[in-house]
Amino acid sequence: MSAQPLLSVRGIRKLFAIRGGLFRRVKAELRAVDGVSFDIAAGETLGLVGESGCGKSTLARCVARLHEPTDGSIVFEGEDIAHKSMREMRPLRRRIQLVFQDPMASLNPRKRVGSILRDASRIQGLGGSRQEERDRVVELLDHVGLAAAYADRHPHELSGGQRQRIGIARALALNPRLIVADEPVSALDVSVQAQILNLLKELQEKLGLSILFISHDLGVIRHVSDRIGVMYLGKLVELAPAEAFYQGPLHPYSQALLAAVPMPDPDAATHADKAIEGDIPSPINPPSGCRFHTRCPIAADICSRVEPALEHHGEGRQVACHLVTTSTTGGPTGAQAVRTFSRE
Amino acid sequence: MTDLLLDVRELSVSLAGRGAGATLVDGVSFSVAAGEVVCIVGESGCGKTVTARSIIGLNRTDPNFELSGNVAFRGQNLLELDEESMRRLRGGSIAMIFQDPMSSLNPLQRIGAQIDEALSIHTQLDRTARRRRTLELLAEVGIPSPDTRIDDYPHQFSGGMRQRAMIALALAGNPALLIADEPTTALDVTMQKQILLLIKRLRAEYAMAVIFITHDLGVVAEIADRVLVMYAGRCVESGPVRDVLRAPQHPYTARLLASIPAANRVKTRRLPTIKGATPMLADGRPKGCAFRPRCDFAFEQCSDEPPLAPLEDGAHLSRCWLVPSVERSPADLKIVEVLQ
Repeated sequence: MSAQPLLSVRGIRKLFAIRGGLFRRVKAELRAVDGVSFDIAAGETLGLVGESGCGKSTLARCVARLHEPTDGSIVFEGEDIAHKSMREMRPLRRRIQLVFQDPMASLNPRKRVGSILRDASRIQGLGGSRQEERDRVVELLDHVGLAAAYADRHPHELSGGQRQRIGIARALALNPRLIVADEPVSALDVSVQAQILNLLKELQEKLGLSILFISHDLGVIRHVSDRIGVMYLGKLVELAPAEAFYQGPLHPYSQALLAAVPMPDPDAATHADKAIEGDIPSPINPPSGCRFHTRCPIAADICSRVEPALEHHGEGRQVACHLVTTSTTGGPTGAQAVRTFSRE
Repeated sequence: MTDLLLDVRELSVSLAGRGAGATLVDGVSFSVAAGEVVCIVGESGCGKTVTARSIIGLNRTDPNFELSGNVAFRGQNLLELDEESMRRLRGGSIAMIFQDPMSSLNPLQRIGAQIDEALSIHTQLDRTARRRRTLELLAEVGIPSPDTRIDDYPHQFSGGMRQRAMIALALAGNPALLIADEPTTALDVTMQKQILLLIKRLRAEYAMAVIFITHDLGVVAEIADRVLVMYAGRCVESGPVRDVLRAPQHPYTARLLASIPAANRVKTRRLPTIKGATPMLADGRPKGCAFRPRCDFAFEQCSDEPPLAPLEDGAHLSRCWLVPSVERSPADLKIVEVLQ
């Protein structure tokens, strides 16, 4: 990892006011993202995973500055963009681009693919001559594995996978350094999903992109990420190198999440008849202390009182849990990780 | 099969009226024994939902659909049953739950009242007994403190609880067959796990057969006894879940399994993929084997449709000319190794 990360997020918070009643007064605050910090190095993919309402999409939107965070800093290429105005953001936008979940909703249905791919450059004043523009569109289509003839199609003439390819091509149009991909393959069938995941990886290698990849699917995340971040109710509970994470997640929530993923193997250990109980609590009134303590199978007294900080546990692993202790023998792995939990 | 509950023979569903000619389900045959869980798996547009809805007759009066074949439930052909008898069967002996519980529960009616209505139609219980049974059902599906939640409206329930309420509603008629159409697709994984465990438990308690529709082979592995893989309106492979997932015979099943970015698979540089996309049935079915344009093993004979033929043991069927000696690519073999 280079000395200076491409993106450095520190203590970011995003609160939404819940209004109601007479005069639409602020009744409550929804803490969608509540103090999250992480780095992304150049050329690295950070996979953020979590269940609905954990704040992963809000976080992505803050990083891409579609939202202004309430607090905290987002240092991108050495510059804090957290509180820049929309006007100040405009020249920076070409370096951070987004890919959305639903390509049908994020492509203008009345425009042809060619014009969708051209418009971003024109808005950024990078247009060039007609011939240059046309060459660029063909090049972009080629990047995402589509023939030049697709430039004349409308989005509705394309399949879901092809539409997502266009969504990616549009994100690439401005030569960004960072791509924020929010559930980019969740709307796709498995056979097409694999094509798009491969495409993202190829492009990353070819163009040296960094990717913040948001997904609810721990399988998809594993196949694209260098590092994994797990979110629960607005907090990052674990941050770890991908392979180490899958060999033995340390946080009880990460463990429960991984154990709940159905594996396509009738004899997989995950089919055991246990599941963590209860529903995800509301982010409007989150539990005290560790936010997971209401569902945690090993919660101790301290967990409901004191909020655990995200602490280093060696080998680039960070966990926010009172009950995780670092083993002295070169860091915890697999089943051992479970044994490193101790009740107070 | 000892106790045959449902026997579907040559079920075909095609579009009538506008867009006529497209055959969404084409000659699908399968059976479900009492107490058995059969999964129908496939990608969007493969006809799995249409198959399920045809069994319970949700599209039988729809002029846009034309159904043919035979759906025998306890020996009675449901396709020929009159609407009145069909209505008694629905929600009674055959119940169905859907992907999105919010759009299948009545938002203006209390949860308890909706279950009460089902009980009043399908049982002889009086009012107080129905109330008691409703509470029992809610407790059974794991709604915490049902006596305080029975008079809630659906919007007061979370997504997972709504799906539980839907299941309670389905259980009201004491069904012999539950049709579950992607019941966990809209849920988070931890919630999905809870619902799958619930369905497994209830299936044993109520000795209920389940037809479970899903696109997720992980869910299939978790819940199915037998599995039916559909592609472009046809069944391409079926058999006991372990046989199909461990030793897939049809190239589509094998490639589909290989292309899943499963969380228990070690990250590779590239995921194996299936080239191209599923055919649009509205544009007409590809001639011969529908998978031919995407298949790595296609040869001349594939321009004729292969039959759904049994392998040696008889329970495992596959619709491919190359079976049982499909030559696998190294990628497919690798996934089989990973799974074992």
